[in-house]
Amino acid sequence: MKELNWPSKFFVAVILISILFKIEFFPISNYQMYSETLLPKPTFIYHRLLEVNSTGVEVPFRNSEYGIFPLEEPLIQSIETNEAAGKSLAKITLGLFAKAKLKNPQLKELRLYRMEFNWPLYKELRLSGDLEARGAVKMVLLETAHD
Amino acid sequence: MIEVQTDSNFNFTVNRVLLFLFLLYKIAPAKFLAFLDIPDVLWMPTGVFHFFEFPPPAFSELSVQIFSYSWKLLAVLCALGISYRLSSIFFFLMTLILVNFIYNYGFTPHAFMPIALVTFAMAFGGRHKIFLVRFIFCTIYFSAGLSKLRNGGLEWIFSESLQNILLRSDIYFHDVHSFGRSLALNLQLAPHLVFTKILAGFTLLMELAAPLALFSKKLRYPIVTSLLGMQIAIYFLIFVNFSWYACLFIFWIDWEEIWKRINKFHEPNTLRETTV
Repeated sequence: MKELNWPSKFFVAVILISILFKIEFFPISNYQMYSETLLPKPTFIYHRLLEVNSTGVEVPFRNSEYGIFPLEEPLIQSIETNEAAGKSLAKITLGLFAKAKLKNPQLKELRLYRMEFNWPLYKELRLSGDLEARGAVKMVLLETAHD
Repeated sequence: MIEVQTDSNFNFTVNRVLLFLFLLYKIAPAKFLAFLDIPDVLWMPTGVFHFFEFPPPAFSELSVQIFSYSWKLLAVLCALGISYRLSSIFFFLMTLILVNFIYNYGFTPHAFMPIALVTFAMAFGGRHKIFLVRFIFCTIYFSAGLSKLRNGGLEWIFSESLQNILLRSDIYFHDVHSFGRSLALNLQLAPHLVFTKILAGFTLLMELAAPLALFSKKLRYPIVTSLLGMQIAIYFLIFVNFSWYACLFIFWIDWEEIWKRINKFHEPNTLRETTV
């Protein structure tokens, strides 16, 4: 390693520190993301989990707020007709919202949280869910949030 | 200790040309302009944008176009090795901005960031650029394996985790990669829990073993080809396309050796021709 120049040494050190100490340096955050999306779990969905409710009940396993979006018609239309947004989380959140809205027409807002994976919860869901729920834990979570 | 090989000119040149042409091919068609139409409410800054609390950008269409064309021009200059030192630094900075710009709208193609890091290695890696790219390669896989252990532990292997992933792919990725989905391999394999556990174990093993590719020449090719196999399997089983990483895999190929072998292969013919 001695042969490396100083920017390379610095670069190597930053990456190693970020991995070992789980520090999301920019631009290393993707190391974390990459890891998470290959996790056994629907972490990607947890990571961008949508909490949908109309009562303000908090989902107990959230840890940090990601954003709250008022669901006004122009915003929805804008997202639906925008190709780039269509590929983003907006599509996922709106998809979930639409399903939740069918169950509860009173829904008024999307609450999007950045999540850390909760392994015990996942196990619980996995054990209690049926095949579809196990395959799409996001739907189970949606139900949980709703209840 | 890791032996850091100095780049051979031949290997570096081939990798440089392939990398920048690949990036040009992959990123250039992206419609970055479309992001300008996204409502400000969806602006969620990440990374440096978050650190400096940048407001939603007020870029004009023209400025994005200029940025886009400059980026393409730099990619061509880098591929051709014209003013490489300077153009590669600018290319790295622009790629970083570009990647973060779209991340801030929640667009999270997570294969992008390692590529941005590769552009750093290609700009600042001195005479060890190839080593640095390989280092990135090994650490992204290693961190993926480590993260699985940290979060799920051995249960990641010995539970139905992978089986669940295979099942949910049908729902979560229902609208992507129609060819992969048409084969429905995930649904065929998912019922075989033993198989999914073996697959999970093998995946974790390969990811954790990735850094060995830096140390051991003997293990290098089995590990790298296994990881390549894993990426292909992910495409057909989970429908996630990691074709971006093709430009990382090319850095493991010894182009100089291949070139020598090709020459050797032609040598006897040439000799025969001259003796005749």
